[in-house]
Amino acid sequence: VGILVLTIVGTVIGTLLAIEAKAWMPFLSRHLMRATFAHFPDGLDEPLVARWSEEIEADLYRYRDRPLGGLIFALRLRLKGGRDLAAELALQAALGSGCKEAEAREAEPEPMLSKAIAKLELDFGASSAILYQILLRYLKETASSDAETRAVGLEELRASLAHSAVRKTLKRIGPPDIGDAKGLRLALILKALREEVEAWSDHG
Amino acid sequence: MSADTIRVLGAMLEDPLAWHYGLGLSDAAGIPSGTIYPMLARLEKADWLESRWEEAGPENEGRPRRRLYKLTGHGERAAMAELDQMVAVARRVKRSRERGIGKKRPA
Repeated sequence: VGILVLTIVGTVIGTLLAIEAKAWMPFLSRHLMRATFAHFPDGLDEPLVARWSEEIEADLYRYRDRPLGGLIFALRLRLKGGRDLAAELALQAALGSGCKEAEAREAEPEPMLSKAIAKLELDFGASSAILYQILLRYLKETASSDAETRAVGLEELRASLAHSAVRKTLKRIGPPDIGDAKGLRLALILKALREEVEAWSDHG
Repeated sequence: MSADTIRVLGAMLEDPLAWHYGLGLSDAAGIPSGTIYPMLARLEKADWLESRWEEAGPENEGRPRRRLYKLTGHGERAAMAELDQMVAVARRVKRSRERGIGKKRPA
């Protein structure tokens, strides 16, 4: 009798827990998804974050009848996708207004520079193009004869590099294997950047 | 160009005139959802893709709207050129490996 009672009680509790879990899982999935986006640093490209957030919410809807699948989707996003999105956005934030300043100061017309950067993004990924722009700015700063400006430029560069997402990206990016002038320039820039990071890391 | 980007472009080129959405492309290309959105944003910035929010209709009533993406004419040509280049490389490698059949890798 005792075993029978235990089995019945166990089954009832198990069923109740399953019903509860089924009801709570979609809530938890949405919470995880929103937490992923809420976790991003301030000052990022807000319209883009809002757009991605809405797109991923629509993706999550596909799992409305599979709460466990939805929860796994949200967890994967939190652990993997969210980190990639955050790194992508953090790199953009690390550059900040400096990119616009660099573009404004660039001798060639802005549309041409934007096009070149878009090509770099496609060839090497956004992270490399953003690093290229960071370095472009730094190189311009160091090209000036003013020692104080050079020091400020270096400090800004170090602040950008201090972001863990940037440092992780640097480790991930291999040397570009192309022979054209832009590729060579990028390779030199990345080499200089790596040396700078190493020196900075040793110093830190 | 990254292998993931090539895979996404390949999925879009199967039906270049269709509007695709992120999760469908992730599934077709076999890449994790979430990571696809920065890639689509880059391709759009380079004018390879155009995007829009889907319009409300009976088929999407009661669910969140999706962002839809389609290859532009320029994007389709450029993507084809990239794929052709990849195929050419693959053929070259295959030929050279076939020529090397029987040769053993030195220990």
